[in-house]
Amino acid sequence: MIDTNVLTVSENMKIDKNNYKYNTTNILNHEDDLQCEEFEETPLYAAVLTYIGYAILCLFGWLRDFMRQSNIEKKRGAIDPNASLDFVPLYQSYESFYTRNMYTRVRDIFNRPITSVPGPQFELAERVSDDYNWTYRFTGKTISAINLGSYNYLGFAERTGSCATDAIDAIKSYGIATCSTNSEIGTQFYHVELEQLLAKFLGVESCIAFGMGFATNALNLPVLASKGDLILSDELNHCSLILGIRLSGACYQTYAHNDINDLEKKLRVAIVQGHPRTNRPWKKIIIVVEGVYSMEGSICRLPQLIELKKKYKAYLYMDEAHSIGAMGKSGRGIVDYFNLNTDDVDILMGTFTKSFGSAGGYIAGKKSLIDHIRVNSHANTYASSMSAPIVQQIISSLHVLNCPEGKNRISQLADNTRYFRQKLMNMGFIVYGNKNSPVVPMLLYLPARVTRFNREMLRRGIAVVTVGFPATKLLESRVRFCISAAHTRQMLDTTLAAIDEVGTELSLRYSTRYQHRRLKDI
Amino acid sequence: MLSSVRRFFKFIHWLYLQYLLNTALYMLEPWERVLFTTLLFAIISTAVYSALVFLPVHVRSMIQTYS
Repeated sequence: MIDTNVLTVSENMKIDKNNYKYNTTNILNHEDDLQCEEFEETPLYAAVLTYIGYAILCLFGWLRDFMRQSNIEKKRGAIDPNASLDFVPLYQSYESFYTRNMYTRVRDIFNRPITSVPGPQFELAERVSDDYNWTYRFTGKTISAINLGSYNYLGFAERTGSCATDAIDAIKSYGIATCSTNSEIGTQFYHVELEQLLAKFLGVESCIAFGMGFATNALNLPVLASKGDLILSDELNHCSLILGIRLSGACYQTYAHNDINDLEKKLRVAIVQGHPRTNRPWKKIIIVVEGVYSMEGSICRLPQLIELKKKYKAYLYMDEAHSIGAMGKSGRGIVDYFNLNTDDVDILMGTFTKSFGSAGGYIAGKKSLIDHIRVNSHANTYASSMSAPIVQQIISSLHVLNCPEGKNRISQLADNTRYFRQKLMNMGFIVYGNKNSPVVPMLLYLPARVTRFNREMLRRGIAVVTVGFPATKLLESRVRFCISAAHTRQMLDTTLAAIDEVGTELSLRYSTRYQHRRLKDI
Repeated sequence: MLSSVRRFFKFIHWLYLQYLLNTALYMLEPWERVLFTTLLFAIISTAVYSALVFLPVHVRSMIQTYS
C-alpha cells in the first residue's frame, strides 16, 4: 500500500541454532541500514523459569500477608487507615501486594542516592538494611562506580568546563529564581535567546521552552488536540504522552509498536468511519511517536511515517526526548539521522534533561503553531519560567555542539554505542533495538537473576539500572545501559569484562541467533 | 590436590546459587528458603521412596498379567 519505489525492502531469512527461521527486515535507504533492528523472541526455558519464580514469590507473598493479617508479624508497609469503615479502598490490592512482597524484598537495587555529579564515573552513598529493605541506614561511606544509568548521552554532566563556568556566572548575574511566569514578568532575554538558538539548531521557524520535560508533553497535547480529534499513539509511548493524550479529551487508539501496516489500517478505518457513534469526520488526526523508545532502544520509522501522514493528511508529533543531540550526524535528532526535511514533522518535541545536561523541554515547529501554544498553554501561563543557570547550561551546550568539540562528542557517542552493542551481541546476550541507538536494553528475564546481576555489577564498581515489572512486561525484565560520549574505551572494556564474568556465572547468554562466546574469544 | 578440592566446593556453591536463582529463592529471607527447601525435599523423597518400594512389585505384576 505504501509506495516503496524510493526505498528497497529486502527480507533476509536466517536460521538460528534451533533451526527456526527468523526474519530480519533490512529497510535500506541510500545503501545504509539505518532501520536495522532486532527483537529476539523469549526462549521457552527462560519464560517457564520466570513464571515459576513469580509463582513461588506469589505463594510466599500470600503466606506473609496471612501472617501480617493474623498479627503473627508486624505490618511494615503502608496501611489503609480507614479499611474497616465503608470507605473506598485507598490502595489497589494487586499493586500493593506486588510492592509489599516482591518489590520491597529487593528494593536496595532501586532508587540509590548519589553523592556527586552524574558523570561517567560517580559516587554512590552506601546504605545497608538490617530488616530486609524496610528501612535503611547510611554508613557514611561512598562507593565509586562507573555510571551506566544516567542519560548523559553527550557527556555534559560535568562540574568543570565552559558550560559549568557559564552557568555559575549566570547565577552570579541573574540569581536563581525568576519569581514569575512566562506570561507575566518572568520572560528574561536569555529565554528568548535560548528559543532563537534552539530554533536555528533544529532548523525550524520557531520554538518554545518549558521548565519540565514531562509537563511539556502532558500540558501541551491538550492545547493541540481536543474533543473531536483522533490521536493514534504507539503502544510503547511514554507515560507523559499518555497523560497528555488523556487530558486532552480527544479519542485515542494505540497501534502495534513501530508497525506501519497496523497504523495505516487504523488510519483508513478512522477516516472512512469517523466518530464511533455519529460517524462525523474527525476534525484532525495526530500520530504521536517517539524518536528513540527508551525501554526498547528502537527508532521510529520516520520516512514511512512521513509518507503515510502526507497521504492521509494527518499530523505528526514526535517526542525526541532521548534522540535530540544523540542521533544524527550533527546531533539534530531523528530527522537528521534519516536526512529528511524538518518541515515534514509538524510538531517536534524534546527535552533538555538527556543530552544537554540541564532540565526542561521544548516544542518546535512553525511560527503559527508556537504562537498558538504560547497563548493557550497552561505550562506557559501558570508555571514559573526556567531558572537562569539551567538556561545558560543549555545555551552553552548548544554553542559547544556547533564547534568541533561538539562534533567530537557526537562521533564519540556513536562510536561507543556501536562498539558496546556489537560486543554484547557477539557474546551471545539478547540486546533489543536499533544498532545505532545509545540506549542498550539487555534482557535478563528472571527476577532473581535481575537482582543478582545488579548487586554483582555494583560489587565490581559498575552502577546499572535494572527494570522489571511493571515498567516492562512481566516476562521481559531487563538491564538498560545508557552509553555516554564521556565513557572512555577503557571504561567500556571494564564494563564488558564484568558483564562477561557475571553473565557466565548467572547463565545470561540466552541468544540463539549469535554464538555464545567469552569476551577473550572475540 | 587442594586446588581441585577448592574448585569442587566452588562448583557446589555455583550449583546452589543456580538453584536459588532459578526458583527465585534468592530474593527470600533465610527461613523462607529453609521452609521451601524442606517442603521440596519432603515431596521428592516421598516420591523416590514410593518408587523404590512399590515399583518392583508393580512391574512384576504387570509382566505376569501380560505374558
